[in-house]
Amino acid sequence: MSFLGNAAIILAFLVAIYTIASALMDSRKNKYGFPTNARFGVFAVAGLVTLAVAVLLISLLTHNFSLKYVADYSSRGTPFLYLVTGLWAGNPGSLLFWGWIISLSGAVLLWRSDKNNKELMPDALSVVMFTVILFLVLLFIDSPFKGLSPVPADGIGLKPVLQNIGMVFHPPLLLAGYALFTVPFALAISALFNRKIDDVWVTTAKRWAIAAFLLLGLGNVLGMWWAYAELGWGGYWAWDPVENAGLMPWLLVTAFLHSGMMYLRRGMFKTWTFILALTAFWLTIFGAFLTRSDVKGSVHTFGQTPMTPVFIVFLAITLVGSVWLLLDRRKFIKSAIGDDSLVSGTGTFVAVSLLLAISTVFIFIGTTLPVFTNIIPAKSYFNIVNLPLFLLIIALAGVCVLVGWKVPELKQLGKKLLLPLAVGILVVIALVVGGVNRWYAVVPFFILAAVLVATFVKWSADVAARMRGKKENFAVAFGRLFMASRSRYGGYIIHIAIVVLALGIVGSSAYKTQVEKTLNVGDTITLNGYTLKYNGFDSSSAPQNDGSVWLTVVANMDITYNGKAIGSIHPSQVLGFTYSGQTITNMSLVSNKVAIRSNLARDFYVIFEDFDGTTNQGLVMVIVNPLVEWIWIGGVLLLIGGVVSFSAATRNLTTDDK
Amino acid sequence: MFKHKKFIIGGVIVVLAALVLGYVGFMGVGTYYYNVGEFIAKESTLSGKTVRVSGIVDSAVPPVKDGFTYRFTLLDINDANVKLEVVYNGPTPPDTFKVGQQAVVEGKFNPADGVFDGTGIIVKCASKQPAAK
Repeated sequence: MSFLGNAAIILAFLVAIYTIASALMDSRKNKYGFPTNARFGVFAVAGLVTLAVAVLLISLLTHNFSLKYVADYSSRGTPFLYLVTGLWAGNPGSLLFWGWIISLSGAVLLWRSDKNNKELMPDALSVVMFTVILFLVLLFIDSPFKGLSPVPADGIGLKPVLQNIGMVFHPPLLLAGYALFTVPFALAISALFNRKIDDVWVTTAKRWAIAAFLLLGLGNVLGMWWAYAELGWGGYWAWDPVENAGLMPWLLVTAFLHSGMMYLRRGMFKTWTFILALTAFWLTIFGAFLTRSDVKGSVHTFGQTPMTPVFIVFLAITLVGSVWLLLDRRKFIKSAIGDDSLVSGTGTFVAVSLLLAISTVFIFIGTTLPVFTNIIPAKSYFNIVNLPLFLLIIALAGVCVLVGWKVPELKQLGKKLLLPLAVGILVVIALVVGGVNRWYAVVPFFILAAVLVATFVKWSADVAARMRGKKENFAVAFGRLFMASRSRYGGYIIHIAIVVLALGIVGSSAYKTQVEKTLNVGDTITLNGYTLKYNGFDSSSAPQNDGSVWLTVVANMDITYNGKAIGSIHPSQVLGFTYSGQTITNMSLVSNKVAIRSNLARDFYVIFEDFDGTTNQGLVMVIVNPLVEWIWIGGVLLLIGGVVSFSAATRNLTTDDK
Repeated sequence: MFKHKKFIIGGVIVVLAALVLGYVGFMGVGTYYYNVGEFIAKESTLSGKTVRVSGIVDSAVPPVKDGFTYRFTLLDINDANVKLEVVYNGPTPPDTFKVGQQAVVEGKFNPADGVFDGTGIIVKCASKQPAAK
């Protein structure tokens, strides 16, 4: 298996080089037809990398411990689902998966879009192949097909914290999202290089960007959910380098989508659209580098690897190449100069993409600061900087739906804003009366309420206009309008999803309360109406395959809410002990299971942090997290809106895009 | 690119506002981060300040759990002879905390007993570590 996997990688590497040569040289000879040899090459590379993935997957499923990777990330006792997730559990596996999706993207691009993008194809696919080569070279350095001798009887197994349903989907979604954005980048480079600064490349790039947006968005939300439910520190976002590496490309892909719509509809801000496409891709690779090299201060890394120079070379080539192309081709980029008003659709779109870019710059500075200095920025830095930016972005989403594309009728706008603002003010009054008076909660809630109402006002106005115009009843008008303008209403659903997500984030960050206490058996903690009674713990130990002993400690607690019993909870810890004779040589935490009681208003979150075996005391952290569930609901809405938008973007454009 | 004057002015205002924002955000900067060696060299100036110190958990002296207190030794990542004794009070160290592996401890140096009082051990994202040896 080791031989087959390595052979597939090496062959894919050679074919990819050949494909670039053939695409670049032969296509010049026969005037922009995509050469047959290169066509074969693109599909062959996709096939070979697929073979490598299949080899690794089969090895995982059949417990082939002659591969070091399989022995490291699975064991005979690993459940089937987590054998599959072993594919991306480790560094080499995740790189293989990423490279695989890029190689498939190249094949799909050639298969689906060759007709409309004939002139762009050779250079675009060369860029895709070049990126595939980066990943293949990284796989040479850290191969998932490294052999292991002697072959162990059983593997080490997947870490318990990774055996969570969130971990099944979070990494592949993010990795696939990063990978898919290779295509918009490749098309942008090819369009610049060939001086084809028209609508063709953006139209194709947009579909890929929507898919990348959806995958990255879901990947990030699932990562938050996993961190919240499994990591057991009571939060879901820590502004950690790996999280930021997932967030930054998502923000810029969002910016690209908005800027790209202006490019297509109004022919404006073309250079800006190019910059966003190039930077978003660069950040996906930079994120891979950041998290896979031993960047000082990053607590999130795979450990030191010799991959650093390879990443630096690739990042330097793409950076210098992108900047050079932008500067050299600038006279070919002719943006229209509209008479658009600042408060028009155009104005809000450019503002949104600019604000997203500014937020990305700040996150980038905060993330890379520990690389160059001894300072790790406080989380408050990221929060202070991003709170106003994100609120402004969300507010603009509300203004945007109400204004005309070019020039708004200001009087009309005033009228249209009346209802959203009125509802927003009512919400503020209700909140303040109800005791919610922190400005950093009240201001966001005002904006969220107004934007939500604005979106529904616009949507129902659209439906009402159709009901009048076509004499249809509400359901028919709504359904037909929705189907006819899926790209618009998919966008609206995404906006609503972001508002709902923000509702959860604001509630849980502004009004999170927590208490940490050492409890004797029988002691209680009271917080926000909840009372927790600690009844001690049960422990049991079990020997493991590797000679260590796992001690499982399960706490027994009863909780009441406003005096009413709502049941028992059992947060737990598993500790691993290694012995040499009778002496303990190592002790470490294996897993920490939190207990969560959720409803739409709040989560009651209990961490059994530590225990004292002699006194039976427990160290317990109790957190009340308001509105957290709305974050996950927002994630589901994001999925729905993203799928609707994507379904609209993949059919023939022209219908509702122009 | 931004040939439209209104958009240029609007953009400049937004960027300036953002710069102010960034400045305000940075006022509350962050924590200083040192290797064991760097920290010991600056010990006198840093005692009493909250810092993060990174090192390898010494396998010669396995961590001891005594009630809710943990004692262990951190070795400098480059020079195993440079050591820092740590007394840590708090939740069980995260699953990434293992002898022979890198750990980042947050806390203050206590010059009275020459021991680093740890208040937190930084959680590493479990998905992103090398496989256990």
